[in-house]
Amino acid sequence: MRFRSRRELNMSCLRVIRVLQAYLDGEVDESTARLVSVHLADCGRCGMRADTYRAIKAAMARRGPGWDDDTCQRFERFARQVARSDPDRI
Amino acid sequence: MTVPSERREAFERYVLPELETMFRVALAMTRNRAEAEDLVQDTLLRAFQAIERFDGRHPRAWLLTILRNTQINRHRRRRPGLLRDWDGDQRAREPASTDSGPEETVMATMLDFVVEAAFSALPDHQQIVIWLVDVDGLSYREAAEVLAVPIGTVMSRLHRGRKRIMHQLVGSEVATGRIS
Repeated sequence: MRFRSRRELNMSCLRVIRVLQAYLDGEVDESTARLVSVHLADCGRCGMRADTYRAIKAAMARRGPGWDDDTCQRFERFARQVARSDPDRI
Repeated sequence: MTVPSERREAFERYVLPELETMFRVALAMTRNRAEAEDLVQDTLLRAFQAIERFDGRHPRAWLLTILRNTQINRHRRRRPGLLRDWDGDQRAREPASTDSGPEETVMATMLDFVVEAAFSALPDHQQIVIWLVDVDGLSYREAAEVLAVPIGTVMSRLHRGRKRIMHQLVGSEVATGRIS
């Protein structure tokens, strides 16, 4: 049995670009994630691309809507009122 | 399930844990906090009426389907033929980072500004997918269910939308990690 070299385990840039966003979104299987991760560590260009997508995702995440305790309590109160009501009279 | 207490128990068990997701998705669809709250309330009423027919599997998908249909009906009722509008009634955003130094905070704020401008320039169908995945944290499958499109469509819209944002970002002077 021959052990595969790091280079053999590496994906091509084209393949990485195809799955990069799904990888960053946690939507690829474990073995693909491992291969992409190895490639990103080795390839400056793809690593840079991944950093940019990460920055975009982080910037978007900071736009998160205001789900706070107050909103949570209001919805819960409303939902519990609904749960106590007569469905035929809604 | 005709006993009121069983109906109530099922509603509370399946629906209460999903309130936050429902609100976030509603906000993604309406971009207006007041409308999002109304939409969630209407969805809760519909879900309660339908709880007897719910089999208990995948409550999130079930609720998001009701939410989407409720939004479609509300929209048709009020503005036939129009897509949602942008009224800018979004929560004032917090500083990009609270635990970093002033320089990092300025850079992150600039980055947010560029991303926001690029995001706003995207077509609606790309914006909503990016919002659902990046802001609301939905999986591809969940986003596909909310929008009633195949997962492949979610992926291609995400891919194209983010790529356009990336081009704007790279073209700007904002540094991000290894990008300079």
